[in-house]
Amino acid sequence: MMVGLMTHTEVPEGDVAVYVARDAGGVIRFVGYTRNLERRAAEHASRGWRLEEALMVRTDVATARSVEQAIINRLGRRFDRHARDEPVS
Amino acid sequence: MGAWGYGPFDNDDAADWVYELEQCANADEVTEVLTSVVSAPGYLLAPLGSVGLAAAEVVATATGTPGDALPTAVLKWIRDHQHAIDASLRQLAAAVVDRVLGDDSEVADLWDDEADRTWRASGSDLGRRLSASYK
Repeated sequence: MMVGLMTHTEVPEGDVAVYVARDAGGVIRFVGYTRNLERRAAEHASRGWRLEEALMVRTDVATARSVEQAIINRLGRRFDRHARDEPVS
Repeated sequence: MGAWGYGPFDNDDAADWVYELEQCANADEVTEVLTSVVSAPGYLLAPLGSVGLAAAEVVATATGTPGDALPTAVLKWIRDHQHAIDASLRQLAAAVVDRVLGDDSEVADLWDDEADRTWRASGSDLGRRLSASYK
C-alpha cells in the first residue's frame, strides 16, 4: 500500500483516493473516497465544496474505506453522511 | 461508506460506478452488477450493495419507471443506450433491491444505524417502481 498527500491532478488511473471536502469557508463537510478524484471534485463543486487535499491510497476499496473511517474517527464525528451533518468550525 | 444524499447515486461507490457505466456501450455492466449482487454469498458489503441499487435505478429509468434527480451523466447514458436495457432485467433489478434492503446487507445496516428512514423509503420506492406494471 502506498499512501501520501496529493492534489487531485496526481491520481493515477485505477488508484483510490480518500478525500476531504470543504465548503467555501474552509469548513470540512464530507469525507469520502473515489477512483476518479478529478470527476468527483467537479461533482462536489456543484455543491459548493472544494477538494483541496486528498490522501492517495494505492490499494483496494476496502482499505480506502478503512482510511476514510480513520479520518472520520480522528475528526470525532460522522462526516460520511452529509445529509445529517451540520458543519463544524 | 460516503453518502451525500439518499438517492441511489448519492454515494461514492455509485458515483464511481457511473464512470465505468459511461465506458460501456451495452447492458453488460448493468447486468454484471445486478448478477453479482444477487449471487453474492453471505453478508453483502456496502460498495457492491450501493452499486447494485444504482444499476437497478438505471433499469427502472430506462424501462419506463424513472426515479427523481438522476445525475446528468446517467440520464445521458440511458438516452444513448436505452435500447440496450431490456425489460426482462426488471425482475433481476427488483431482486437486487430486495437483497440490498434486506437482512445481511451492510449498506442497509449502516443507514438503519442512522435512525433515519429516508434512505429505506427511497429504496422501497425503487423496488415498487420495478415491480409495477409498465408500458
